[in-house]
Amino acid sequence: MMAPPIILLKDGTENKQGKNQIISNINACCVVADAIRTTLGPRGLDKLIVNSKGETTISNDGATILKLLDIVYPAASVMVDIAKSQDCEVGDGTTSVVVLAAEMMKRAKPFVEDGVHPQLLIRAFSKACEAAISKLNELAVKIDGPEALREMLVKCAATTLSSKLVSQERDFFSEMVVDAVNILAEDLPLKMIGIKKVSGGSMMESCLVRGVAFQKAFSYAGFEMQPKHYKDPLVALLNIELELKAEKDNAEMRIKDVKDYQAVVDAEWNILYEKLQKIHDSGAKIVLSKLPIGDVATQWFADRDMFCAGRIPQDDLERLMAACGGTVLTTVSQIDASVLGKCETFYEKQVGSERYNFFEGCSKAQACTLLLRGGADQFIAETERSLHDAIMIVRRAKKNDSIVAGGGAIEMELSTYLRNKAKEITGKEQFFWMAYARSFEIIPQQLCYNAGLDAIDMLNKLRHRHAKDGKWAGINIHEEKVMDNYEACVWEPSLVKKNAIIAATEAVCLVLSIDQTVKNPRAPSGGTMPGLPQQM
Amino acid sequence: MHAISRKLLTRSVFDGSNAVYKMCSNQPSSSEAHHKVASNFREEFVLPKSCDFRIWFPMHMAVQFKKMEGKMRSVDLVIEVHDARIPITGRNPLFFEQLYAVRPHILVMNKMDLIDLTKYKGPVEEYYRRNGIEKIIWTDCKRRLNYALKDLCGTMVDILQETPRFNRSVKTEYQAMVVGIPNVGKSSLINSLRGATLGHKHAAVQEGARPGVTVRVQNRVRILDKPPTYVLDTPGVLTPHQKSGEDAMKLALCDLILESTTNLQYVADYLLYWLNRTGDFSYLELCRFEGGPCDDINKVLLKICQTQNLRSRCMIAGNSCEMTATGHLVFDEFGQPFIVTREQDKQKRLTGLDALKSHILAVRTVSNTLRTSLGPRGLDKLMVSPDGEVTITNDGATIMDKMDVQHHVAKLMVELSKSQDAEIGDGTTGVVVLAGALLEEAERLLDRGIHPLKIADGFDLACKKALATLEKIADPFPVEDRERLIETAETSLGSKIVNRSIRHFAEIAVDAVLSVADISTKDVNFELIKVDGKVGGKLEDSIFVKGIVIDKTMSHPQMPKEIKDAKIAILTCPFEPPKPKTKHKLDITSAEDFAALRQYERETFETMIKQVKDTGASLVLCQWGFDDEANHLLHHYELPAVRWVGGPEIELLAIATNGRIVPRFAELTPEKLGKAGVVKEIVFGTARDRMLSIQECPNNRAVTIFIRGGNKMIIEEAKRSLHDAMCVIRNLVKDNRIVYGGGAAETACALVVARAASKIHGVEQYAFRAFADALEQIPMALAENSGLAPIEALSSLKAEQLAKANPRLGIDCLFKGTNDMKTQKVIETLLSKKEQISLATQVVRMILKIDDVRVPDDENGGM
Repeated sequence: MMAPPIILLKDGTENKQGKNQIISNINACCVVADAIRTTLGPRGLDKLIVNSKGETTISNDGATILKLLDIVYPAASVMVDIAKSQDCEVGDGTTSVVVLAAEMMKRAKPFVEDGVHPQLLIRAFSKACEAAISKLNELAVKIDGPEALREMLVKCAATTLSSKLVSQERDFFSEMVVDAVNILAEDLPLKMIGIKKVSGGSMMESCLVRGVAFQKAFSYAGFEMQPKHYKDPLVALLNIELELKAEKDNAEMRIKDVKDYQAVVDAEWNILYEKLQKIHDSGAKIVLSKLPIGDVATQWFADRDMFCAGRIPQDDLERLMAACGGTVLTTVSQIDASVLGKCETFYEKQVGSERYNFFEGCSKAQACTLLLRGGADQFIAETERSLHDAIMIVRRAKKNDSIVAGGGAIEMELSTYLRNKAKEITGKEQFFWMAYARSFEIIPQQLCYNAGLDAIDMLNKLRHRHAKDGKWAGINIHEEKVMDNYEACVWEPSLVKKNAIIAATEAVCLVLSIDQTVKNPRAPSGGTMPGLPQQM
Repeated sequence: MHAISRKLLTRSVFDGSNAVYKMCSNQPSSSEAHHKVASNFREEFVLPKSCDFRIWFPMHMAVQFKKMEGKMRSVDLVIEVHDARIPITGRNPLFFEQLYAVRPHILVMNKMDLIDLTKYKGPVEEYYRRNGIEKIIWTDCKRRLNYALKDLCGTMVDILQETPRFNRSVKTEYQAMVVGIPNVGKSSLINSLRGATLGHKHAAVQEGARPGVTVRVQNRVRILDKPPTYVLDTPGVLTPHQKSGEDAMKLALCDLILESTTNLQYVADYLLYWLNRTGDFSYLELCRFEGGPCDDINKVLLKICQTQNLRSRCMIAGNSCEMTATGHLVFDEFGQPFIVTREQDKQKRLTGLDALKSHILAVRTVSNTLRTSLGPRGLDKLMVSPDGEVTITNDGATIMDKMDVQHHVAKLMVELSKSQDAEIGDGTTGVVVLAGALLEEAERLLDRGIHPLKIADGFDLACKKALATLEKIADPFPVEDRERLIETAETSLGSKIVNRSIRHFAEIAVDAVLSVADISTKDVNFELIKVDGKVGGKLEDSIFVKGIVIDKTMSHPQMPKEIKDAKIAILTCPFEPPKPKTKHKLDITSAEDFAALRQYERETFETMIKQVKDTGASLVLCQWGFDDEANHLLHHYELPAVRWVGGPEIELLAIATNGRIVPRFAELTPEKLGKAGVVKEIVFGTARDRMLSIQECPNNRAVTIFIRGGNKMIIEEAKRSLHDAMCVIRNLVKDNRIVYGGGAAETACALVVARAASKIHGVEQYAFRAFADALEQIPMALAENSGLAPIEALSSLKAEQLAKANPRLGIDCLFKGTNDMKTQKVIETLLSKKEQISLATQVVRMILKIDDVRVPDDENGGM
């Protein structure tokens, strides 16, 4: 008779295991990689994604696209995570890390199907990864001297930007990015680079403000009467509401006598006036506050030829603090010249259809603002993402001043190296090393596909060059031929590659080591499960 | 996807057996031409040597087959299940040899829903009958067709009862065994039998849509009560050695072999080979495949990808890795697509060329809408907003804004024209038309197979060249010359509704800008220009006031209507007893208290008025109101006052009159008063419309333009036109170089770019030339809108420009008899033209760079 079935999991729980599970996970990861594969490299194309709210994003940045794809397949989200980690850690190379990981998995798939134990693969891959990293470190070229360093940074930024929408103006922007990063303090805080977007104008009108710029805040009557240009002003940064208002929200007064009435009113006014007077006495010419500055205060300041702006966003205020010095005050009772910031010039200027306030030549000068211009909002948004990548790269490269050649050169060299090394290995691990080595070739290969070049031809040329000791031979997409990318100044910080290789290898090992997925059923409203047969 | 593949499979039975094939050879329906083409195709399917067609034979098959043999002793009947799509190939010969040679046997053809029964049922049964198999039953376990199952049950019972028992023991129950190759539906058959006979709904044995679900010989399942009958489910067993690769391919096609163990590309190739050989060209239609049949799987896959957007980078032929990916996707039509992203099925996805083409179409639709609005003879568009508000305009930005475009890429165009509007304020139509023209050219190049980014690169290069040309042909403009400025403003106003009194408006615009312009910093603050309008009167009645006009009157009708040399107190505090902001309550307990309060209020008023009077003010402008009593007192003390003056106006007033805004009466001093030469009430028409104008102010930087017109729409349109004109003037103040309008500048650029194109290396050359063609669209549209023959006008214009080397020649839209734009005085600022070209190029680049679009499906991308 039939044995009573033992029910272990809730009905509807998906439980997949074994080799098939590994394979289907690998397939899923490859599909994810396919989605962003075509964005790689200077000829990579963009993706336009409209989310359910109808917001449009056009991007070329792997991490951004994967984030927007909203991936639910459990194993495939590993790919999203490595892209994110690359984004956080290095800021660029998000596409290449995903493509690399997918290729490694694809190379591992036949072994798994043939019944190789995943752990063997994992061990071999990890070892090969270590070998690759040590070779990478060996290959990396150290840059010395401030002049050379700057040049290196510009080139790294240009390499990053070459795959973005702004590639035509990459020289312009890479100079800008490097200048921006150079302004920053020792620990290169990213927050101190403000990026402001103003639609309209051409990209070339974008500029780097050595200081802080922000959009004119909402203003009350009297604002236009304030002077808009100062030389060497003192800047008071406040976190105080300068408005006529109830001092305490829940207070109630009982006034017996009519005469007291005037006294109360006067008292309220005097509180405000005292504050204003103190600010004025401290010598500040510009008053900025995170909280609103009311009309009375605006007019009062206008009367005394001072400039004020309320409701300044927190990050702008922080940047101002970093740029001009001074501290953000929460009370004016202690205000004096010592807590005020200083800058060389302050002015208001029309940028596109907005008026912007500029603070330049700041005393501490550790913050800067990139003012981006461009045709459409999406355009600027993508420019911002691209510049963010470039900034991250420059920051990284500045701290870690060794570089390698891009355009697939370093990948090919590592591939060649690993292949040679694999031949020294006895046992079946050799195959795994070989597979690992081959997977590096996906980067130049994909670069070729995206550029519409004959990948096989190119790859063969590359292999040939690398075998003949041309260690920096890579693909130059703009020239459409194989050439020495070190000479051609296609440079990338070695850190980017290092992180990408490690992250990709780890992701592969992770996916290979999963042999069972248990997924609880979704709420009834949810869609179909991945992997379940679709009902016709 | 599934449905398509099923259809495909249904139409073509993948059986290699010539017997069946010959019998059915009078089938298909395709045209002679196809057959003719197909006759040249390969005769034989040869698997590449590298392909290992030893097929999937996992360990469990051998082990379990032994076990099945062991169970034979207790089995009375063997039911062999097979896939109806391959009725002959793939049957495991071992079954016959070792299992049913000595037992009664039924052959069940499962999945009959996937073939054309009328066509194939007869021949297949005929074939088997000749081979000595009598009992053939056709079923469909997916739909659980009752008659088919009853048929099967009946046959089973018949056989069981008729044939002699092999079990000597006196057993009352019967036992059957279900055998077959993997994934033909053995488990499904058992479950559906059980459902049909015992009425059990839930599955007794696990089933799945892929091979290898059942891997053990199962416990027996009761399927019939009378007589008591049990069946054994067994795993599918294949023979380890197939005769040929072809057989393996067939099995793989029906998904009877684990997908991951076969090379998908070969399977797809085999499918194509088979379809062609059997003359079934329905795949052409199914995959929306243009052109005739094809024998090259790579080409077919490429085409399928192109038409169905499966992959984006399919343009590049000859790369093996990509192909596997496409093969996979084609194959997934037969298997199960797996879900990677959330609500994948609810997303619309466009990739590759299709995405580009659809974007280009969207943009062209938008630009075609605007095209007829270009130029002085351009026509207006009337738009009705959802709440019934009517707008008539030919200003590109406004049209785009009101059109409420839904399509995500068309939205880019809206933003494009908006950003031109924000930056320059003029040429919003031109920029959209240019972008549309560029994309139209790009589409042509895409069709030739040029990489989109190369096109974009070419456009960028060409754009730089065009900009350089513009700089070269630009003339400096005498900003100081008011007359010339007015002429410029006239060009801008020429295409607008106000062109009836064009001169008047041009003067207004120029004067307004010049009075607020800061020539030294080249900055013009538009916030200092107030544009106001009132319905009534003619457009010609519009006036420009060097000062402020506010839509308010004196608070008391008997106050003087005109004040000369006014001293103005600008107050932002109300004429009423001051109130603290803290919540308060005044308790009045007696009549005396009340009287005291009244007294206090009155005294406060009087002090206030006295304070104002003491400073020597002759007019009070108050941001807030005051009640009638205060009004009366003011009148009584002969202090004219205006109440409820808006915040921005107060500010403008303060700037114009050099006064200070005073928040408290106590702070009022004579220095803080503003001064104005004349303050008077203006009366409009017969209606009692009154406004207060404050003129002859010490500071002329605040000005007002006051527009009159027949109806609100005209006034609004006039405002927009003026804004455009003022922008032009502003741009001249910013940068005093100009180019000539009427398409002259575009034509000149187009000529230079076209000439330069031949010197460019590489594919960019084509894009370069296309850019020149796109530039010519502007004069072309101008000519078209003016009722000229566009091609004729353009070609003669080009010839003339070349012959005379005169970049000032353009289209004579207004039929003034000359096409020298310098004499016609049609000029545009260099800034605006440069911005137009570079913005359009930028947006085109952005659109060309997109190759993958994911949109939630409910958004219909309405255009």
